[in-house]
Amino acid sequence: VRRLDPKSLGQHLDVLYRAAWGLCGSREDAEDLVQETYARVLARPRVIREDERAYLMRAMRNTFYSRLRTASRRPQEAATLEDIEPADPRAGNRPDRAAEFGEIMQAISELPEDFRLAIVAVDVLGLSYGEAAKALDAREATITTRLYRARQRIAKQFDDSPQSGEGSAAKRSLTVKENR
Amino acid sequence: MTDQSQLPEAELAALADGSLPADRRAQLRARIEASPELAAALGEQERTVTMLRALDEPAPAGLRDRVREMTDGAAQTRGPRRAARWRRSLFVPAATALAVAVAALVVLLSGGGSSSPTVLQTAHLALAAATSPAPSEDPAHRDLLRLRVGGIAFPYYGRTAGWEATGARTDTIGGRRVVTVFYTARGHRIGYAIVSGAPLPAGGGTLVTRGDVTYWLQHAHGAELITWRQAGHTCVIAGHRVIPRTLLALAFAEEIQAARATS
Repeated sequence: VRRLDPKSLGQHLDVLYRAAWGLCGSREDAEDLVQETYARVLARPRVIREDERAYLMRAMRNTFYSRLRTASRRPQEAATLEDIEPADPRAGNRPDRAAEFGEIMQAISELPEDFRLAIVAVDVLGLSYGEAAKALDAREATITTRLYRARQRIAKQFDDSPQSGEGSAAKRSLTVKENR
Repeated sequence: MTDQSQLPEAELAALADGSLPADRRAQLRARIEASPELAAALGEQERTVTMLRALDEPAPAGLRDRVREMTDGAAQTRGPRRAARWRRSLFVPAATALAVAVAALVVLLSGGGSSSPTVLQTAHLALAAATSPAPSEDPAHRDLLRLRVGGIAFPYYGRTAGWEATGARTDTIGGRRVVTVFYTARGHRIGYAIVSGAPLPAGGGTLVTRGDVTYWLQHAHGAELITWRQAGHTCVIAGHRVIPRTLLALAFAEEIQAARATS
């Protein structure tokens, strides 16, 4: 049991951002989710019993649910503003990688929620099964089953996606890695 | 067709990511060698693990800055107790020096002797991180949020334009309260700030007049910003990578909504 050191939380930002993107399915929602998670965690002093990253995962999951509830209470019409600049400055530097990352995160975000949380916690955030189980309030055996099935679906999606030509950026990347 | 119940799913998952205990590995490997179905299942697990563990997309610089601002702020307000005792002995001179420095900064940034915030200072806040959750929708006025400054309610753009309120912050500059609500849509973020009290001096940039209202369009802090006066207060909308036409449309929408709310 120890006090959470705000200064040390910055080191988890990149991985938390990737995890948030997997949960939300979009870069912009991921940014908001991460920012809100940090704002909530830092709102008052915290005492933690687990690994910092596992603690942040739990906080992010709670924030994610909270945002879903808020969004569901707000009826929305389709957005019609067409004049927003679509440019993503990062995509210009490495379009292949941006596309690849986006495709993978999109695939994760389309998984059933339980599967999505399990694969994000273990394979994106790097938590152990035990840490993931604690962060997600589930049994370890349940986490492993969800993880197995989530990975299976992701693998099938990238293996079987009917892309033309060379296939998706993520699939190309997968092929390269396997050929090394 | 694979029968999921016949597969040692947990062990295959653990073997793929290296977390299966050594004493189980050899036994499972032997089973896999004898079963094409198990080998295929393990292959799927391994491919996904390889793909996900290779991801290295960093967080955007803007998010990094906002998080650093939050963690630095929290760390400063919560030092260890030993440090707190040490700080107490230096509190009065340090606080005095800080107050003088902040006052000097405000005077410098405001470009004169006035302690009122400037439009650029307000825009800076509109581009900063949120420090509190977004206000909720006003049930009495569906286009407004339940947050007002000097009688002006912040707009709710979610229904009409797709910009959801995602956070807020309140600051005080020169004794003036500056309240900001942040909105996001399609990966873009804007801040809408209202300054309490008398309107701020505004000028420069491009002028757009609509009815009796003049809007100043400027580029500052690497962002676009629009300033106008409403009910005797200064309002500023600012955003990175959002074109002025979008900001102007939102400012017009606000003007229309405010007129509805007060009519």
